[in-house]
Amino acid sequence: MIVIVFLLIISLLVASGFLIAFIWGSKTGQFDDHFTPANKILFDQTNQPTENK
Amino acid sequence: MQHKTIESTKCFHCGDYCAGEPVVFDEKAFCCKGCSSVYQILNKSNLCEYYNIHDASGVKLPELQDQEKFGFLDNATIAAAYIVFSKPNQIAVKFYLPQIHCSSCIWLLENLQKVNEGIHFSTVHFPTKEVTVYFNPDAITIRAIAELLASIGYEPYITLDDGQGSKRQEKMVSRSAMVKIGIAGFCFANIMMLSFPEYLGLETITVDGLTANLFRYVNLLLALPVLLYSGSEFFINSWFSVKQRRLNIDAPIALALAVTFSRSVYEIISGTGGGYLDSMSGIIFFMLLGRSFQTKTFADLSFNRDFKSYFPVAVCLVDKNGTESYIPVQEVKIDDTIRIRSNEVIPVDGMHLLGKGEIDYSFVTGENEPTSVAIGDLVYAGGKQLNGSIDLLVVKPFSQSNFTRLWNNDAFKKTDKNVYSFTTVISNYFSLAVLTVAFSSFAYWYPSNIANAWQAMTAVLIVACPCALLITATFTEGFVLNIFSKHGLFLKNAQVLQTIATIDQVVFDKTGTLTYPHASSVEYSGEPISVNHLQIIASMAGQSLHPLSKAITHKIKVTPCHLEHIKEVAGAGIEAWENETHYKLGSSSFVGNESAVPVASEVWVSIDNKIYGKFIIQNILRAHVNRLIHELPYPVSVLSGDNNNAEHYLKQQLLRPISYHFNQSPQAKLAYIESLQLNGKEVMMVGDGLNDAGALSKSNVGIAVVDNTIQFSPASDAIMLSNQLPLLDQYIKAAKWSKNLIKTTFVISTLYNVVGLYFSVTAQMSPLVAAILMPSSTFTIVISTMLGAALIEKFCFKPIADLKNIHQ
Repeated sequence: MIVIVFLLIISLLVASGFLIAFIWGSKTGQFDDHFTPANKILFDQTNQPTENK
Repeated sequence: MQHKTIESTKCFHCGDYCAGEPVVFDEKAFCCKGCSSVYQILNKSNLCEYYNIHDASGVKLPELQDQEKFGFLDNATIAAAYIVFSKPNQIAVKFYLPQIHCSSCIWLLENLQKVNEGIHFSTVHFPTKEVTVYFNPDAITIRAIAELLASIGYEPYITLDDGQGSKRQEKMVSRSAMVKIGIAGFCFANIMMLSFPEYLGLETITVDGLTANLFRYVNLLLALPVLLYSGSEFFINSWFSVKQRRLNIDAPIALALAVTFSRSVYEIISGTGGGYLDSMSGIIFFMLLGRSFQTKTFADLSFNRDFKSYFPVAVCLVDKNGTESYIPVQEVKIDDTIRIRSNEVIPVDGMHLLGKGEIDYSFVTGENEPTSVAIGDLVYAGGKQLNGSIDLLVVKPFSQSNFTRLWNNDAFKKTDKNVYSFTTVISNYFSLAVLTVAFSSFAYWYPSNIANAWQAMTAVLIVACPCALLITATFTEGFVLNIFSKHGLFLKNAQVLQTIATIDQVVFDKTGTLTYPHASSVEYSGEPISVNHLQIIASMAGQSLHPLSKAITHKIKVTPCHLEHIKEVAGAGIEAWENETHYKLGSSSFVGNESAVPVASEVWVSIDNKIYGKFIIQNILRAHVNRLIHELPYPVSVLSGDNNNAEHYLKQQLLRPISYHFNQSPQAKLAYIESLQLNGKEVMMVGDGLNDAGALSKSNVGIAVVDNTIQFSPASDAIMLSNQLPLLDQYIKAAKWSKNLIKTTFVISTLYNVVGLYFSVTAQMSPLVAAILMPSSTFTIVISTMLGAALIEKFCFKPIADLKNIHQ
């Protein structure tokens, strides 16, 4: 029976990992724009700058 | 460069059909010089890939481009408002570009570094149509970036009322709403899973000293964030509603949530049961989902734009030596000299000092014909300078100009429309009924079994919470709002949908709403004019920027010739001397016809002082508008800022007696709406310009008509694409049906409630019953609203092509 408790803790931990990822993603605005990133990946990149902010 | 005559060629850049001779460059046809110049810039920077992503994706340049337009960005304090990030060799500036419309735009705007080396990189945010440009401040200025964007067709839109802060805030709100739903969903699913022993009746089995009690405590732990974080808005809203003594739907929901939670805590701690935490978190999850679905925001539309967004951010100040500098418009002082460029709105009252003043006061008066002002005349804020730049001596600062005072008038302020939403009304009756049932079941059980009495009462409150009503309303409205926006009508919020269903009078603005804003019919009446004379007259009209002249040039399709001796008399007309002949084009008094009544939309022609005849210029009705007016089952009025020239034409076209009101100032329009409302009417106002703004906000439902979503509309409850205007009656019908749909689905959810109430009142409510009832009622509601909305779309909306035209 103790294995159920163990499973319970593991499953909650794994699930909260995804929850935290979701919260982090939405707080940093990764779900704000569904259009631009989806299109950007389709563009042929020629000489893209290596610079970053 | 070579010229070829290709009939109706599509422009390589913008895809419009070229009117007249296309401009040919690189063997590609362009409709205008602007389009070909954009192509040349892109071609030079190897950016022609732009055209491969989408055919003819380009944005047309406006006819007149002012070199100095972005001069104010040289002023550091003004420019600072657009800087989002700054370090010594990199600055990021954010602009709103309403022209962004497709993936080509993204590609081009994210490759700006190829056009100018001072730009490091740029990112586009598509939903809000914003671009952020990271650049080296030593290599390029903010102004140069704005000018670069304008030169490739993406002119940054910059106004006083930029709303950048508020937009960002909106975004934060929707993000936290998403997190709330995520947490509620996560906890709901886990609580459901951990409640399985409960559902299967295993909760009393003890293995190795462990009972399902452990699961119950984990459930309680999981339910806390749902109640305290995700569900917090129900408690906050109901607190406000209690404070304002206006019960809204959140109050009974908050009560039900509180009762459910307290009873669950009691059951778990006393070890008598598992509580109803699964139902509680499920309800919160679905209610939040419904609300977010209903508050679909249109990030690129603004419903709250006030007059300030029509003003420039900065004004060009001219000092005694004639040097120009830019200052924010609020800092303009009396006795300053300011320079207004063409197509700029005058922000302050002033005295005309220099230049050719031709001012369009349509924002203020609604009258479409521009007024000419002489040197020394007073020029009022709110007018738009049409022809070249003028200098003004400021006589009143910004905050005190007549125009600002007019709009700051209380009547023009958007008041909270005092409508009891119909769901609120139902929910009040509903809550009253639930409370009665709860207390009577308590009273019934109390003498025989106190435990059952408590159980019955709380179970009633839990089961019959008006959550189902909220879910019904939010999902139905969400579906219908989606249908509406698919068909070109964007509502500010779901409340508008319910208000549309109650209107019983429709008021239209004339110019730009019922009629096309620019296309006008030009008719000539009088003695025929020979082709040679006509060519000269067309050329004369072509020299002027006056809208009537433009209409005439458009009508007479001849190649203009060069005129040597031409003189424009402000406010009167144009005269020219060509081939020993004296031509005059203008008002009746200008050509010497004293007998004619001066009418603003008539242009008279005289050649060598002989009056030939006149051009009559009239706006024409939008297609199918006459059918709409005919079909509307409500009284209809037409308001217009113009003179009553068009009355005859309108009466001829609109085959039904409606009331016409001409020469209406913005205040008069507002007063008219108010007088209708005093007579108990629920008024829908349909308008397009700033001169309708007061009426739009006063009316119960104000709809702003725009030609495309890029265009700026005054504050309103809804924004409609102008080509959808003939379908207005269908929208109203659909709004009425959606109200019926809410009622029907509400009846369905009440049936579930009755079943639930039976179990509660008889004190047999088990967690299993609750766990089955709650999701099944929610799913039934969501599915029936979805089907209902699909039926509404199918039966209420017919495409324009299928409409029968009832012409005469």
